[in-house]
Amino acid sequence: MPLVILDGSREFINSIADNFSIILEQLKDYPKVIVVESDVLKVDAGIDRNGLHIICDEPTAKNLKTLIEFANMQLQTLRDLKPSMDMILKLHLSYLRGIFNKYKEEIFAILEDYDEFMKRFLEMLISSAFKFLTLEGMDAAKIEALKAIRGMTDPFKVNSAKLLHCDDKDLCVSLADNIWREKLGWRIPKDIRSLRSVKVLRETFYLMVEALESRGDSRSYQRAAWKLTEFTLGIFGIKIQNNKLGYTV
Amino acid sequence: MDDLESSAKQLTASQTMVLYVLTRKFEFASASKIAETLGWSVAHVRKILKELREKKLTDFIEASFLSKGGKGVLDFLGTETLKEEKLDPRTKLHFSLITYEQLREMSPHIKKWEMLEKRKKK
Repeated sequence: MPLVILDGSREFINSIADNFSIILEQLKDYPKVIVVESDVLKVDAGIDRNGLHIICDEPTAKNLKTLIEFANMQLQTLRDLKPSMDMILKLHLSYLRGIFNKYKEEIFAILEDYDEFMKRFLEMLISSAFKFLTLEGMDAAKIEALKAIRGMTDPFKVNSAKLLHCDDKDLCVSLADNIWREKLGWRIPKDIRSLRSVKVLRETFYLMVEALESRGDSRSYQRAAWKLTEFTLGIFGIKIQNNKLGYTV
Repeated sequence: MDDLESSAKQLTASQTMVLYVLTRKFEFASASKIAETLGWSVAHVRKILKELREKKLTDFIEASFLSKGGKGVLDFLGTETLKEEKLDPRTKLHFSLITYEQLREMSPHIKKWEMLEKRKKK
């Protein structure tokens, strides 16, 4: 039996309790299951280091079943593509070490913040890439069932104007967490989408998806890893062009 | 894969074995760990690792990098074994820049070993 953690309003907890039997039936393989009513997102379902994580404003039996099925399919995608993802990350590490060793003084000031940002950003970006690729393998009926859940293609509870006032790093983490929804028809709000950092975030994400899909194309791995390095250092004001440090801000 | 395939043509059995260790046994390993696993001398492993780095098939990070900007990435790469080890900050931790599947495609040695393993099991 998994450890189940429910977090939300009394009404939310009661709704889950009504549908508890159907949840448990499908959760045997997870050590821990967290179902929450989020302040930020309306709906989401994914797997992370803690197990299964579900956000759902309307936790009906039908919605929960659809979300759990989506998460289960992500588990399979992760098993299939983890070696490729590891390779992209190792290449990124290799590029990063080269840059750090060469430009110690310029980079030293941002190290701690960069590390902290990468922990949050990578978790979101990787999970998003696996969700996107899971959707690619799903049939139309299952995709329609996901799209029918309220909030799936309109995920944020806050409006886009508030997102625009976010720090660049926080905005990138939030968008990285949700960019997979573009596969379902969601579009990043236009005013945010036109920001340079968001444009590069999208390029980074789609290069990563392309590399994972290539299943062994070294050049695709390298392209994705280099873009990831360039983009994440760029957020910290460090521009690298043609594998050389251009200038620092 | 073109660049990998051309370098694969020149992969020796020793290079293949080191890559095998780095793709199947450990995500990151020091030269001494690889030597211990293969029953080789550390000097021989270092020589092979240098050859592989020149072919851009492996790379390394210093253990001190664990406490710097690489930690955020390492968390995603299954580094539990590294946390258990007491490492000198100067220790070089080597890792493969190809997957096992790519190695299988590149090196005939791997397929031979797999066939031998299968025969042994029978």
